Amino acid sequence: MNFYFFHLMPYGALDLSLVDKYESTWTQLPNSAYDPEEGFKLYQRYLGELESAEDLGFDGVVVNEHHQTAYGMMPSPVVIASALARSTKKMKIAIVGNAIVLRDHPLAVAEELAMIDTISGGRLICAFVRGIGTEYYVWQVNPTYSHERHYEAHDLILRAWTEPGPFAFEGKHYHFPYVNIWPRPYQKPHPPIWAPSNGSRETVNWASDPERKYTYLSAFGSLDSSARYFDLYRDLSKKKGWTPTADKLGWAGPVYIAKTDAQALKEAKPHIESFFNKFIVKPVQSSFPPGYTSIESLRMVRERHSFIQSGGQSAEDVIKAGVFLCGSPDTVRKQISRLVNDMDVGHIMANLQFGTMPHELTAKNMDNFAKEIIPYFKAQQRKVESSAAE
Amino acid sequence: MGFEPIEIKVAGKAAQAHRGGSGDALLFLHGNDGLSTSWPVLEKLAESFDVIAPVHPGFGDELPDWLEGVDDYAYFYLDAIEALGLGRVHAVGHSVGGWVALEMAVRNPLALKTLTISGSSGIHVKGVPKGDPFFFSPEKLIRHLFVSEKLTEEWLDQESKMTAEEADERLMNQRALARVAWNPPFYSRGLHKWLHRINIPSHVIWGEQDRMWPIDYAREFNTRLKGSTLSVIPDCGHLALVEKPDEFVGLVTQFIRGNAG
Repeated sequence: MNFYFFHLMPYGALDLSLVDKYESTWTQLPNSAYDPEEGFKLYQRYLGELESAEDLGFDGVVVNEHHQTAYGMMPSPVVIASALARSTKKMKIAIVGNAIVLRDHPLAVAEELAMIDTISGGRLICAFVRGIGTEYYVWQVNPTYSHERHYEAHDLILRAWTEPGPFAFEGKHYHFPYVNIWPRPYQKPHPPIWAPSNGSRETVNWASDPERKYTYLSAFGSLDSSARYFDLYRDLSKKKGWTPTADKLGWAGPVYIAKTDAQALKEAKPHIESFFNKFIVKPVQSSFPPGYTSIESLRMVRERHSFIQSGGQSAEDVIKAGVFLCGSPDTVRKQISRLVNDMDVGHIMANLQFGTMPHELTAKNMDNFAKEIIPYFKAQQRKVESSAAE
Repeated sequence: MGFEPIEIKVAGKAAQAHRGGSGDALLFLHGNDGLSTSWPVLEKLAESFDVIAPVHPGFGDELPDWLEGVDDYAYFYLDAIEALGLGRVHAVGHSVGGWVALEMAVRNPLALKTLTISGSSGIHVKGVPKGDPFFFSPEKLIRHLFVSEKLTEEWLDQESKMTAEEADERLMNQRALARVAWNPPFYSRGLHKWLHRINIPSHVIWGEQDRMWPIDYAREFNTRLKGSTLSVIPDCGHLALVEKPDEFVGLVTQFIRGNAG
């Protein structure tokens, strides 16, 4: 049972009144709204919050990649993970993930991650993602090749990590006559690879292949939809002849804890609403460019899109929908218990800072999570393990 | 004038097409949104020509595995002209269809008798902002298409009543368009260097107020296509075949007749 602190590093200093003048904080909100002095302060603060997770008893921290958006100041998670590789000592550093499809040279990712894995002494967890729709506009990568480039870039990185070089990689999108990276990763045979998704059947199917057995991470979906994706992962795995353990399933989403439900709601409300109504909002065609996913998935996802990414959500709405876990320690324990005990999920990645949430509340939230949630479930797990041993 | 569905098959690749009318063979290459908006023009053209109007492979359908760029369409249609035994044809292409026609013509100008492009993509003119058929919302796109407010309102109204089948067809059309036109956006890197190869009569038709591919593009094509005729339609946006179908057909017919020899 592992608990992680997930940081999205939003540009929290954003003048929210600007947001409504544009369709989205992604791609369209002018970067004149970004102040480098505020950026400096936020990076110091956010790196400090990530580093503090180690002493609080988190098993790891999680970072990710998004481009040209106030939603996150992390176009390169490699930079943040590199800083953490030296400033932390014990905990895992998870990048969920690198948007390898966007790269014309995924070998650079193989090299950078091998460096971080080695510098951190084998604490790196990787995930390879396709990036979200807006990023295809920003990088001009053809979305109709998204899946095949993703698989191919993944294969290239995996082979570069595990196969003695020099060898030739002859793909459709990537062709490298000499693959022979130095350094190779520290972990053997390579850092763990996770597969984050919002339930794309294609991704779940790919991740659950016996050759891969990648940990499936349900990211920012409701508890109900996460349960469906976990079932799908388990079903597909069983059909392929293996049974996933809890270690193969992860959940990531926003969490806020205070003394009482009422206090938690009051404190989190403006910040979670800024997250869902300002930072994350994207028009549908920018989230899902043509060919990014199958027509069937597009149809489904476009229907669902109206809820998650179209704004107009109250904190109460997203709590009720099971997208935001918020309340007293007891309330949040019950929700996480659904994940841990009912859904058999082994990795909980709590996004404990979101939107405009200031440092004081973030630190308090992290502290509450570390004291009220982590020990509770770790003790429960020890109990289960010792009774299993008897 | 009746059209019949035909299937074009070449080298293991296939396209659905419609054929109607009689006279010189005219290959009509549809634009970004598929063939459906071209029907009023096709029916009028069929009064004077043997019109062959294919649906670009991938539009309204699964993506063919051989489709990687507009050059694939160009080779496919050059083969198709031979396979159908059409002899030399008059090519008329709108928007992405114009781009396909240009790619055909630089490869084998003698496969064509004349070339007509309208609101065509295919080259890039630096510093001229274009519309973005992918990034624009459906509403914003419609608001960029026409001069006529009446047409804009009609199209917005149709948009709100779109059926599930129509929505799916659009997703497929957009996917095929993205496959060939995403990067570089709506042009081929080298095409502008070879337009001088097109040594057949060529005709550039443009809506004067085109906000998707502004009139600067028409002038650039007119300069690069040796001896080309430029016809600018006033009070007209990007979709001349919808906004000014009679003028469009008149210009096409007149040009072809004038260059029939």
